[in-house]
Amino acid sequence: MKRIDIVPRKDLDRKLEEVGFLYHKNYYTETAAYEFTAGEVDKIDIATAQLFDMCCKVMNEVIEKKLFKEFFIPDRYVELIKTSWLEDFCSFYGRMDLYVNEDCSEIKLLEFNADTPTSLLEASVVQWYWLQEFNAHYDQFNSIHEKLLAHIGVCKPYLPGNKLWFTSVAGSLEDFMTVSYIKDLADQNGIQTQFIDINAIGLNSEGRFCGLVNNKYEVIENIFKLYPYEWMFHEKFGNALDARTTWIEPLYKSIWSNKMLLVMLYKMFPNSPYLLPAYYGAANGLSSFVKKPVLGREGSNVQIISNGSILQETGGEYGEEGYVYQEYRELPSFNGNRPVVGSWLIGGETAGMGIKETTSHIHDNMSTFCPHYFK
Amino acid sequence: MFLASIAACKDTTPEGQDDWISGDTGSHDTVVGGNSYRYYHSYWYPIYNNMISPSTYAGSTDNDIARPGYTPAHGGGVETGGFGSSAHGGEGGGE
Repeated sequence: MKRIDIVPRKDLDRKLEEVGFLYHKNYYTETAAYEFTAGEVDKIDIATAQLFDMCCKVMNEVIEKKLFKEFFIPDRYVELIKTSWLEDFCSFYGRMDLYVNEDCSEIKLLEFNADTPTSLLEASVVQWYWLQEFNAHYDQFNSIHEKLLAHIGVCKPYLPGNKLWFTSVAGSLEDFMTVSYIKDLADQNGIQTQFIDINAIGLNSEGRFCGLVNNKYEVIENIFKLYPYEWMFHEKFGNALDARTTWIEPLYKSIWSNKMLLVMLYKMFPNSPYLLPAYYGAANGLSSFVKKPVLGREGSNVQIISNGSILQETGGEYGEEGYVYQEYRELPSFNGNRPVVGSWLIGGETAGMGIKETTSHIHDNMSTFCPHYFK
Repeated sequence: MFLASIAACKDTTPEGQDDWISGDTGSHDTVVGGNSYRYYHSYWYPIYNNMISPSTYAGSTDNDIARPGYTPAHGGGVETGGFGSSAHGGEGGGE
């Protein structure tokens, strides 16, 4: 893996915004790209597939041994989560954030953004268009768009009424554009679609979720949400979640997006080359570790301890459920820029990657996206 | 195609999905049977404190409000705002 200085394309803003990438300011500068070999990409691909297989085994273990309390799942959602997994409810996507060293000889799972991943459009569309102008003879680990388009078609028969609603937080442009991109792929599959702000979702007297269409409320049979379950579970309508509405991502993603997944993975697969030791509640003798809130987001409330000293820490409002302690592995540095590889899964299949870098040790919502290629 | 769909999405998230709003610029009001209504997105809504709430009330047609004794209905007993409270300060739900 190399970091290459590149020259931004002419008329870059227009080109980005033409493909719907409206939130690129201070996030995508196109001054650097990451270069890989085909062999290195294969390693990331294989690691992602094996990690996903392990995540599936964790899910089975959680159900068989009734481990939901370890994930701080309220009792009332247990049966819904079980049903969503055992009946294989529709899932579109997920992104594993990976530590990858310079020669890709070490690949480690940092976390699994299984429930509400963003940076989708830039990984699937934006960097692909960049490559066509940069050097169309090079290749890219990226079939995200094609696989997502095809997979939504596979899910189509399982959407009662052939209508899929989409929702995100009002005022978040990145979320809205991510949802709009997926909505567009559903449109292309001949699925009727409708957008609704998350706070405009209604609950009728029969306990069904509904939304306004032509000024009348219509029951929501299927909905894709870019809104985390750990928030929904504790909000007013959380108690109304039931199996009558198909939620995408499915409820079992509340297990995989939970940092306790890292603990459970390491417990079940301590010899995996793709896992770092991780524990709940204490560092268990680790001298260098990252302390992460069980239900933390966007790098908030994270503390890095390196050889007993605080290397970096961030503030925030998470941590009520306690912390996971994961062995610290310093990200590779390219002139001070530290990349994390976001490896995408579409319908459970590996599909490509997007790279974010930061000059800090902790990746947060200020990290920048860089395109990549391999040759 | 993607950009076209973005525009369509924006069209489906009108001001009318907030709880109480003033209504469209250029909207007009009327009084029928002693009740005040404001015309908004092709329907009439009852006015309270010079505001309307399309998320609370089902819209009424010209014929509806002309009926003697007509009472605007709540939107089928629909309650909104039960999701979304955890996002604040422009923070989205994605990561």
